[in-house]
Amino acid sequence: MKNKYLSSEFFSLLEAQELSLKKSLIGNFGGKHLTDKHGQNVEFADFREYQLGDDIRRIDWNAYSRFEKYFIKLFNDERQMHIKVFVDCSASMGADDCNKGDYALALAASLGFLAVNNLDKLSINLIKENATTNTHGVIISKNAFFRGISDLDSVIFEGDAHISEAITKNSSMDSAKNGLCIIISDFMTYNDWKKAVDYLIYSGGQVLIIQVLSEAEVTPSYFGKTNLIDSESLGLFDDKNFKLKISSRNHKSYEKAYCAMIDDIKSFCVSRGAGFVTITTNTPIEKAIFSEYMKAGIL
Amino acid sequence: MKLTNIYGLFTLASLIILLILYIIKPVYNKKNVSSTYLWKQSMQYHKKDISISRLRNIFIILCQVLILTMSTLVITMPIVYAASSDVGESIIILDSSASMQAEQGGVTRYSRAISQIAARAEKTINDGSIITLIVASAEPTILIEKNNSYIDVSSKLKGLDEASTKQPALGVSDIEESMKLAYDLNAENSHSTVTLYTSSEYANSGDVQVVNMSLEDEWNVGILDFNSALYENYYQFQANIAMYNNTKAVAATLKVENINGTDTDYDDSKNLNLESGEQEVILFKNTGVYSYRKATLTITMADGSNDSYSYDNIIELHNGELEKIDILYMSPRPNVFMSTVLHIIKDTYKGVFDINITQPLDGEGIAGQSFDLYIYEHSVPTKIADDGAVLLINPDRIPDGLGVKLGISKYGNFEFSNNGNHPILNQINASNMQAAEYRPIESDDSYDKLIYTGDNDVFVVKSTPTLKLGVLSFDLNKSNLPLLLDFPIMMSNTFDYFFPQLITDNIFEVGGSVSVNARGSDVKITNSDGSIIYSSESNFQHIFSGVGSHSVSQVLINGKVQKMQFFIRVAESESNISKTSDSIPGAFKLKDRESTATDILLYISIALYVAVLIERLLYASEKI
Repeated sequence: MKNKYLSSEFFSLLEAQELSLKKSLIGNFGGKHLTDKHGQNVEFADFREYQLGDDIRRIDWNAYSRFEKYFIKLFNDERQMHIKVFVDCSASMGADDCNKGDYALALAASLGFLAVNNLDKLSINLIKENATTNTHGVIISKNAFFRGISDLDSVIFEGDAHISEAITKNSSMDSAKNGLCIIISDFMTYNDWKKAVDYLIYSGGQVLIIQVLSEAEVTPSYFGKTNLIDSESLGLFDDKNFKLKISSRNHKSYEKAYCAMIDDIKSFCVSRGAGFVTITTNTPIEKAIFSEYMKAGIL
Repeated sequence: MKLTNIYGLFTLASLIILLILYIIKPVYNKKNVSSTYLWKQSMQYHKKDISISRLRNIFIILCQVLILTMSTLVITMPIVYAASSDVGESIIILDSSASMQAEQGGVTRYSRAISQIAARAEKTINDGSIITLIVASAEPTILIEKNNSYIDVSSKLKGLDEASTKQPALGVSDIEESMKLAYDLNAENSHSTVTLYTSSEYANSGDVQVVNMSLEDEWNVGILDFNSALYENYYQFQANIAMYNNTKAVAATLKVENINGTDTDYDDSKNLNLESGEQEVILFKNTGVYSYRKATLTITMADGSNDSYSYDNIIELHNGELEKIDILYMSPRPNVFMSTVLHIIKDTYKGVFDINITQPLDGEGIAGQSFDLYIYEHSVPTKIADDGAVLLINPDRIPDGLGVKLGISKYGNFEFSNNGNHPILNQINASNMQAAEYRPIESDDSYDKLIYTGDNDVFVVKSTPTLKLGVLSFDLNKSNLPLLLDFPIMMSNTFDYFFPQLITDNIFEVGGSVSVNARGSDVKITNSDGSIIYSSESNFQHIFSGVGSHSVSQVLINGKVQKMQFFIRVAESESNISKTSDSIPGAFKLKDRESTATDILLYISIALYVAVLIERLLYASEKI
């Protein structure tokens, strides 16, 4: 496998983990996620007085002997969760000076493994331009999962990624109700990605924002007269490119801009009840999963 | 504006180079980044600093342009004319040296010059120009500055003429300084002209118009030098006589008054034929004069004619008689070193003072006698003299009321030190002196403490018009002082301190400073008619403006009036009333000033270069 992060040892670490949801799940039966709905599971939840139409086989006769009333036992229901991962496949994620793309795909794969390992459904959506591409449909088994992630090596990061348009136009609102939507991107875009988050939350799903940045983007180390060429630019004279005499003062301004961006995303996510994780690519991926995911409350 | 070196404009080509450098300045390094999003966002935080940064960049460019412009100015040496250049100005320098007092037909050169200046001023002012007049005396002054009122100018010129008639200017003139003043004024106005009214001829006068006020038939015979010297105990008189612009038979007459302490006079004369430009030294010897009060040398023409310049036809020498100084050295155990030193002093000052030393074994033989300096060693009388200076050496006692007391004797090996810089300690190193015994001196603040050991003074002096006292409180026989060279020097300095020469010469030039060193009080300078010119209670300096005999007097401590006469003469150089010089003094100074100005521009340029270099270093330190 080309992606250096994905290995059998890596996936074995994820065997004992499972994804959790803060919201109630209304997915299909057959999953392993306990819900606040009562069902046919073996896990006792409560008693309720018998009502007309209830299955008399569920009457608790021991309780009748003590109270001379008919009570039936209630059990927790288990539902299947649908994990939808949206990966930003723009050129900025695959720029030569960083490995954000590989890192993002590895994060997506790890989340996918956690999903299928818990009998949940998984779909990986690649965002390119105004569209999302679901390469393998809904994955529900490990075999299908491993087949799917082997194809992630061939993902090409190019062009632009309009997160807002891609998700709102191409994602089914119904499927969002059943679980967790994860958007992985560097979010260094003028596109109004917040609309996509609002859309997913309005659809009833839980949203997790994962921002992947390279070390060079967090703390750039270059000085002097620099012609900054944007990886998504269409040529040397594209508006995205610009010349700058970079001084220590510029670096301070950059730091302020970076902090402002993080604060903006964080405050937005808090206001929407979405999770937010920002990870730099020099963070070991195991640490990213076991530390940052837990902080976000999805493990 | 005129460019002195027009080719210097090629330096401006460097401005184009600078411009090209800014255009083709090093290209920006290409840097591929995943996204410029954050950099663009950062600009809104950076914006507020951009204006400062731009200002700095503009400042840098401004500095560089300034440097290149300065360099161009340095090379091209532009001359900027003042705004007032449309008004003509006549700058006139009037030489007021003694030679301008040469007269012909009863009118001096100076008066003629004033008349010509007045005429010139009238014409100049009528032409709409202005007049500036610099009077070139020993200290040149601007009498009239940029004046366009003829009445005003005429009034001042008239006042100048009247003052000259009353008191002719007989000093020397500083033409060089006058030229400086003129050039400063000339620099302010490009349409100004400089005219010098003088009595000299200049081979090269440059841009200065010279009006020579001398006339062809003016001539002068003058005494350039006159002095007397003892030769085989008799005075010889020597004079240097010169003739200018004529050939004449001249008689030099010498009259020496009150010779050899009597009322008798000595007269002699010599005839000589002098041609124009010739100098002759005459000597009056075998005079038989060993002392005199006054010697006068007068020159007259054999044909009875008068020369044009009479101020150098007579010179007087005064004070051929030396002032007598009587010294008393009284000691029960006379010290041979002290006696020797006194005779050294007598010999040293034999040309200045007639020193008489009295050395009695006791006080009996000198009762009622008055001295100028009393030296008491070991034994001091109950009442010390108050009519002269007193020096007490190892005194056994000091009379009361003098403000000085002696402590009890101290024994040991004592080393001494100088205390401050006093004239008596000149060339003296007291640290060489040692004594085995001394008595500490306690004196009030009016005494100068000269030598001390530990906390105790051993030599103090006081010199006022009423008391001149010195106390040396150790025995010369118990000290190494008499063996040191410091001893005669210290005694000589002490003599100088108590008996300064009232004036150091008996002949001075007009405009020269005469120092009067008083040792008494009520010091006065009077001229030949007895009127007081200057008076003081202490030392002073005086500058004389008129020729002739003068006297200076002071009242000594013994109440006697000491009077000395001296003669003020015109400067020797002024006797030549038809001087010819190569160039006007000060023309070279103009050249020097230009050179200095260039240097300053260079320094400014260097300073600017350094400033920019520093700025670049600061710029680099910001890692921009």
